[in-house]
Amino acid sequence: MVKTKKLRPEDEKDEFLTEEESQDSGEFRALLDEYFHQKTFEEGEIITGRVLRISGDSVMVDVGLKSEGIVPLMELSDPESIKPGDVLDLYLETMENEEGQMVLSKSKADFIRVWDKAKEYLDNESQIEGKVVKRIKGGLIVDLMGVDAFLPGSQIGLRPLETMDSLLGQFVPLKIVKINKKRRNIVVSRRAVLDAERDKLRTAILAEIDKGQLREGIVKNITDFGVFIDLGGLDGLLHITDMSWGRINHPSELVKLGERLKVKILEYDREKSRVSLGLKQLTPHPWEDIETKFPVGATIKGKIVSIVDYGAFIELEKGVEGLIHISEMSWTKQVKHPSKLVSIGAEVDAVVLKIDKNEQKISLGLRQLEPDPWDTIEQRYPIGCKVSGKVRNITNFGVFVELDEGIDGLIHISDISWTKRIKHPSEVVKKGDSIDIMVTNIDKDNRRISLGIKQLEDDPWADIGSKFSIGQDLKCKVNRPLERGLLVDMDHGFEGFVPVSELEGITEDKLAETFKGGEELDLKIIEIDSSNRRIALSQKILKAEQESGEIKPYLKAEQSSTGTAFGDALNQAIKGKKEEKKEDEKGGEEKPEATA
Amino acid sequence: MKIEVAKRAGFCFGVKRAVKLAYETAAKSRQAVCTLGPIIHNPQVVKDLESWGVKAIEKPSRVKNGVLIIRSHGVHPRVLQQLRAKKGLTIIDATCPFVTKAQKAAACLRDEKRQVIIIGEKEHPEVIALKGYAGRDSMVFNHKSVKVGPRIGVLAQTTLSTDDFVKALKYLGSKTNDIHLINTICRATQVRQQDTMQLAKRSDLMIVVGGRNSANTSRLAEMCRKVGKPTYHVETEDELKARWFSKAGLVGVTAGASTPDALVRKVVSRIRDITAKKEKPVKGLKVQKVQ
Repeated sequence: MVKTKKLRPEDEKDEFLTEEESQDSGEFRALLDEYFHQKTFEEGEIITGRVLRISGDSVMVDVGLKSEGIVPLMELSDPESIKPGDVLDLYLETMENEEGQMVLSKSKADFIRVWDKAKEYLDNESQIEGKVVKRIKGGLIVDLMGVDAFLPGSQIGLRPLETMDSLLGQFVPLKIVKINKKRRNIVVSRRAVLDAERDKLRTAILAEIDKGQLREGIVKNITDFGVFIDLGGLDGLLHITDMSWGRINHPSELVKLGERLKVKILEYDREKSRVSLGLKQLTPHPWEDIETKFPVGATIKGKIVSIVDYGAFIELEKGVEGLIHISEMSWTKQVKHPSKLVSIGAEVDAVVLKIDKNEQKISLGLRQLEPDPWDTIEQRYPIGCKVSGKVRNITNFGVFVELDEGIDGLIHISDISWTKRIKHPSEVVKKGDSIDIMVTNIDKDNRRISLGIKQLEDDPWADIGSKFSIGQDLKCKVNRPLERGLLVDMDHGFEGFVPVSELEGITEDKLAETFKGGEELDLKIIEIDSSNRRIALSQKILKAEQESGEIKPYLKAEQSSTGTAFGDALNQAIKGKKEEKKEDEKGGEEKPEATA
Repeated sequence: MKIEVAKRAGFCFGVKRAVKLAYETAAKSRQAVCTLGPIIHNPQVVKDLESWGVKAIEKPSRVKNGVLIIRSHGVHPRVLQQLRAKKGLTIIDATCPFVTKAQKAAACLRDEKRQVIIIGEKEHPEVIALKGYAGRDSMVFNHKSVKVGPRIGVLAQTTLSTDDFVKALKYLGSKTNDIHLINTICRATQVRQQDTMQLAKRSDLMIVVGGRNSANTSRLAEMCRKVGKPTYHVETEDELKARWFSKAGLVGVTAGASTPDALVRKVVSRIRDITAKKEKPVKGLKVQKVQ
C-alpha cells in the first residue's frame, strides 16, 4: 500500500470527487498505481520504498519508479538490522541529483511524520515517553516516536548524574521543550518532568509535613557539617550532631550519596520551608536505661576512642562513652600516661565504677578486673616482719624498695642507721641491690609502706648510758667536716658532732680546709641528746678544763659569787646522790674529792 | 726596772661596751639618764657617771620617762616588755652580746620542749634575767639536789668557770641522756686569771688594781700570792708606796673585771713616777712605754 499524501492540509480532500467517490477512487487508484507502476511524485512528498540492497554507506530503495532511490545509511536509526525487503517511509528530497539519482531521506520522513504530534505535545506541555538511544557530546539522543530528539545534559535530571549511561535503553518520560522545523530538531527535557513531579510532591509534602514525623529521603549532598536529604520535593538538613548518639568525625562515615534513609522531622519552619532532620532520634537515647545496660560493678567491653592526659575514653555503644581515669588503671603502677597502657581503637574490658546519669558520665576502671594487692598487704607484710627487696630508686630523702610486683616501700633516710649521719642514701645502697629490711608501718589508705634497715638491729641508743657519759674525755677521728662543725667517729659505730664554736681557734669558713678527715682530736662529751640522737663534743671545754687545772692550785676556795664554792656544793650534792665518780683532775684540789 | 701589764686585765668586752654606752648616752642625751642597777660593780665608775647625771635606780617601776640603760647582765623579758610599753621612755640595751646569746639559747631550748637547766647562781642578776627566757619549768642548778626531767636543755651563766660547768654536766649526764647543751660560757674570767698567773710567775712583784669589795679582784691578788710573789692590792694609784719597788726588776700589774682601763693607766704612770724619783734617772732618759 502506497499512500500518497500531500503535506498540505487543503489537499486533504479531492476537489473533484465526492467523499464516497474519493474513497472508492482512492482504493482503485492505488490498485492501478500498483499495477502500472506509474507514479508521479513531487519533491517534498513522503513515499514508500522497499530496500533492495546496501552499498557502502547508502541504502538503495525501490520506490516503484524506473530509477532507484538512495538513502544515506547513517540516517537509519538501526543500520545493522536493515535488510533487503524492508519497507521504509521516505521523504523525497530531489528527483534527480547530479548523478541522476533520486535522493531520499528517512529522517526527514520520520520527522514530518512526528512533527504535528510533537507540536501538540509542546503546546500542551504534556508528557511523552522516549527511549534513550545513545550518548553524544552534550547530552543524549532519545528516540521519540521514531525520530531522534536531543536531551541536553543539563536537562537529564534534577542533579548532574554521575553517569548518563544508566539511562541508556530506558524509556523515560519527557517533555518537548523546543522544536525547529527547519533544522528538524526536537529538544526534550526529562528534568522538566521531574521538576513538575517535584513541584507536585513539594506542594503535597508542604501540606502534610510536620514536626515529629518519620519520612524517607534520599541523600542528595554530603558536607562536613551534615547531609542534605531530598524528602521528595523538599530538601532537609540532617546536621552531623543529629546523626548519631556517638561521635562521628564526618557524615560520610554513616551515609552514602543516593542512599535512602528514614529520618525524623525535628524542626519545620513553614515560612522559610526549612526542615531540620534527625537520624539518631529514631533510636532511643542510649542513656535512658543506662543502669540496666551497664550496672555498677559489671565488667563490660568497649573500644578506646580517645586518650587524654588524665585517662582514656572508651565507647561502650554508640553515644555512650565512659572514662577510665588514669588513677583507675593500675593498683600499683604509677601510670605516667594512659597511652602507655591502652591504645586508640583497642577493645578492652573494664569495670563500671560509677554512673552519673544527669551528667552523662560513666566512670570505669581497669584495675578492678584484678584483686587489689593492697587489700591483703597487711597479711602478706605484717608490721615488724623482715623481708628482702630490690632497691628501685634512691632519692635524697630515702630509698624505694620493691617488695612485690608494683609495690614499693620507702626507707626514709633516718631509718637507715641508728647512729650514722647519712648525707645521701647512695652512700649505703646502690640501685638494683637486694637488701634486707623490716616493715615498720603500713598506710593502706595512702598505699604507703614504710621500711627500715636499722630496725633489723636493736637500737644502740637504748642503753647509750652504758657506752658514753657526759663529761667523758676521749680521742676521736674526724670523719668529715660539715657546715657548722665536725663529724667525728666514735666507738660502737656512733658518730659525734663537734660544733665549730667548740673547736679551738677555728671559724666556719676555715673548717673544710683545716680538716680533711682522719685527724685525731682530744674531745669531751658535753651532750647526749637521745631524742635527736646527737652526741656533741667539745675541744674547747676540755682545753679550758686543762688550763683551769693549771690555775687551780693558786685559787682559794671562796664563799662568794661563782666558782669553787659552787663546785664544792656540787660535790656535796653528788655525794648526797651517792654518785661514784673518779675524776682524774690535774693539779691537786684544795679539798680532797668527795668519795662515797 | 720594767713594768708589765697583764695582757687581758680589767674590763671584759661586755662591761667595756656597757660603760662606753653609758658615757655616750650621758653626753648625747638631753633627758634624764638612768641605769637599771649599778652599771658595774665599781664605786668609782658609778660615782663618775653620777657626776655626768647618770643615776642608778633599782626599781624599774619608778621610771616614767627619759632614757634607761639596761646593764650588761640583761633583764627579765617581762621587765623589758613593761619598760618598752612606757611611751616616754627610751631604752638603751647594753646587754652583753654573750648574755644575749645565752638568752637566745634558752629560748631555743625551751622551744624544743626541753626543761632548761641553767648552771649558775640563783641570785645573780644575769641568771634571773636568763630564767625569764628559759620558760616556767626551767631551773637553776645549784648545790641543792635537783630533780630534772627526762628531756633537758643545758646552758650556763656566762661567767661560770669551766670546772664547775663540767662537773655539773657530769652530774646531769648521770641523770638523763637526753640533753641538748648550748655552751654559753664566756672565758674572759678564766683567761684573765691565766694571764695574771703567768705574769706573776715571771714578775718580782705584783700590783693588783681594783675594788676591795670586788671578789674577782681579790681572787687575782690571792692567786699572785699563791705563786709566791709579794702582792699589793690597791684601789687607786694613791695607795702605792715607793718602798714596795726597791728591789723589783719586773713589776707586774693586773686588774679585776670591774676596773676601768683609765685607773690601770694612772697606776702604771704613778709607779713609773715613783721609781723614776727613786732611781734619779739621767736626763734625757726615755721612759719606757707601757705595753
